[in-house]
Amino acid sequence: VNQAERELAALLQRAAGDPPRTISVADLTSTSPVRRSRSWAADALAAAVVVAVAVAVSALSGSRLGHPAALRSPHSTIAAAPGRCPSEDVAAEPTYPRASNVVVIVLTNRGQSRCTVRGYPAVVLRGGWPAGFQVLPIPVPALVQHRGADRPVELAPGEAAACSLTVPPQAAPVTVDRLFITEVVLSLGTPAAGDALPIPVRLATEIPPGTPLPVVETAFVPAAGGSR
Amino acid sequence: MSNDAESFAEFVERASRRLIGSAWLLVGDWGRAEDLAQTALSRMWPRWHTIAEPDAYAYTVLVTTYLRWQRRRWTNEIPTEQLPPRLGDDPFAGVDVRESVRGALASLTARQRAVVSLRYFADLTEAQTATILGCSVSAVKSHAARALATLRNHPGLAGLLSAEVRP
Repeated sequence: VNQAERELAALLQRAAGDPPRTISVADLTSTSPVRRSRSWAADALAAAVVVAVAVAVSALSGSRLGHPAALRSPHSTIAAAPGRCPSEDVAAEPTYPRASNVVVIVLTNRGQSRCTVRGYPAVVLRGGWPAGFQVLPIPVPALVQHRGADRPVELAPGEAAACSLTVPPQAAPVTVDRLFITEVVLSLGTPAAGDALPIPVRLATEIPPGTPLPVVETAFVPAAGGSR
Repeated sequence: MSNDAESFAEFVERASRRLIGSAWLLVGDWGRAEDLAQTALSRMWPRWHTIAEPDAYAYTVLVTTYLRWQRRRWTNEIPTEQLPPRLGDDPFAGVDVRESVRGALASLTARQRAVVSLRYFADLTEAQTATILGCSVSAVKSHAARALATLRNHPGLAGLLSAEVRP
């Protein structure tokens, strides 16, 4: 094995060695159908919805990040709706439709039954100010401002809903106050219930260390055929 | 629980992380990777008592399912468009190894990608990889050499491979 192969193997290990979740035998019984993959048509539709959400986000973020009086702390508006989607049954995929300061999170119901996501999920941000090469993920204090109507979105198996998070854009030229958000932890139920969904993301923003980060969060909307 | 059920549960426990990782290297998406790994594992259970080499069997189903998805264009991967525009200057390029690796792997053919996943991540031998892909060992070697050459040259991996390895 030569040097290039060793380095490649190490790189692949860093990239893929730590999946966000694993499969347990409870997910696999001879009677339960294998989770279906979405067709390319559904994917195309999902992409179209993501773009639509992104356009809405861009319109909203154009109004800057709101007055501090309008900012609310995270965890303030979570209601455990009956039949809400358990975090183990949803797949979360971050997408970056526009700028490096916006992430659209698409949640797909991968369970076997219908469930509901509601309004604004509580978010905890993790990231850091780069010290040399590495960003050590630490909790980033955030002030979350909500946008959009707080409506439950019911998801049949395979259906998806999307919400977005916008942080202040980076100034140019980039200063030492650049902050990287490397993980968003969404709570689909009450945060205290531990029903959290960590999602690796890549957002770049700018704020001095120790200052709460203003974040605009849009409510869940159906994506790819989700029904109200 | 029967012995079969117990040993299958143990196998799932032991192998699923590695399978999902290998699948992610193929498809570049955790949700889809889980689907792929779950497909492989689900197909094993009904014939578990007949499977002599569970790892080889699991990877065979994984890779053949992936290649079939590729043929049907069942992929929602967006190869390089999502990478930051100025990759070389972006500290995230170093921090987010995952995104860089995903971008680089997207430049490989499906079979090269399968060889990379099986040989360099799942740690299978050339002979095992050849059996899984249904090709000769020399074909595996050739896929691996071409994939390696492409990855060594890929700009997205510039900061992640040492100077000796970069061309």
